Amino acid sequence: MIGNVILFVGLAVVGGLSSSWYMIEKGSRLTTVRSGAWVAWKSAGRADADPYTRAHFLRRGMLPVSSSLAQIYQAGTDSDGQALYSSCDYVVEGDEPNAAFWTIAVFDEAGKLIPNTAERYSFNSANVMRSANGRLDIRLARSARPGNWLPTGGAGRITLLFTLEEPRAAGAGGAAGDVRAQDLPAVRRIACR
Amino acid sequence: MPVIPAWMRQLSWQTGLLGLVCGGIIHIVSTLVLPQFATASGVKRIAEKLPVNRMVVLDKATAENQIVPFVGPDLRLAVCRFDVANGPVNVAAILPDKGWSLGIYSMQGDNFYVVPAADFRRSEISFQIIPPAEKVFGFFNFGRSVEASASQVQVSQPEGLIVLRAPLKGRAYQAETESYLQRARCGLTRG
Repeated sequence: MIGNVILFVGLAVVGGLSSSWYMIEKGSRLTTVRSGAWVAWKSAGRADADPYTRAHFLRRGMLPVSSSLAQIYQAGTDSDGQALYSSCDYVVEGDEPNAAFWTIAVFDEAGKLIPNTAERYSFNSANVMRSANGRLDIRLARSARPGNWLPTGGAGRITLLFTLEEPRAAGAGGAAGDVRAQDLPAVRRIACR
Repeated sequence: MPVIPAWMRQLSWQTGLLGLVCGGIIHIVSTLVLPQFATASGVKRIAEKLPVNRMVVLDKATAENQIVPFVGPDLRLAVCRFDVANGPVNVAAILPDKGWSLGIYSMQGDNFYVVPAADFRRSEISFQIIPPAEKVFGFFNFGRSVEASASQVQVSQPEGLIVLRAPLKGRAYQAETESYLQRARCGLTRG
């Protein structure tokens, strides 16, 4: 008798609530596109968005722009799947995406900008310094680094947001909306304290 | 043959099936309902701070002044909280360069209308937001026609946000970006 009650409660309450939480927080292949560290919600901000996508952005209090205009990729882990922490140094490296405008910004886990004396929170396609071969090389660290340095302060867990406005396929004359997830830069851990 | 523990032999498959069905119902209800009780949506957070039917240029986001989560300092926003309950609202804005866009949000956070800037040329846009059609029993349109003209956008709910997004490419562009944002207009149609 007790075993049946536990089975029922486990399947109904625990199973129902935890599966709902997972689909809203993490998403699935039906609702998200994943590549390495990056996750984008396919129908973000759209009127025809599925209930999980709508709940995800409502719960986080975000103002999502329609995915038909911009692709927004979030990374809470590095490319090896390890959670991002402000106590570690990271490098975001790869080819520059083809988009009308892009930004990469660092936030704490709740989406707040991380206070720092340099008042630097992000880089974008207009102000980032490219390496000699034209690739991106952005460093995330607590203390100053040469080149494109994004301060991570003492935020604990951190989240990266990579926003591509009017993305296009790689190369000149690429079709609109065709940036491939695998073309996104990698997020690599350098060291932890 | 694997040995099944005695306590597992007492479990009935009917209980398991009932648990799965109830779990499915709880999953659906919690997905649809719980987010409504969670943190206020980004649209509502902004709307609470704005006057009605007036375009307001929001300050650049900083760690001390960030109106919604996950909005960085590379975007400047001009926002109008519209309400068409008392009549249509006129909207006018300039999209001077690629990366700029103007969108309309419902209070539920749906970005159901968006106009991006054209490549390499300045676009001046103006349109009218008209109230939702009145419906009888939620089915038949009554009164206003649902067909809006090219310069009209009919909304399904009377309130929402108009958001003009401007990429801030650097300090050198700050004054110019601000001036275009300040020129955006939103207000009730007169007469």
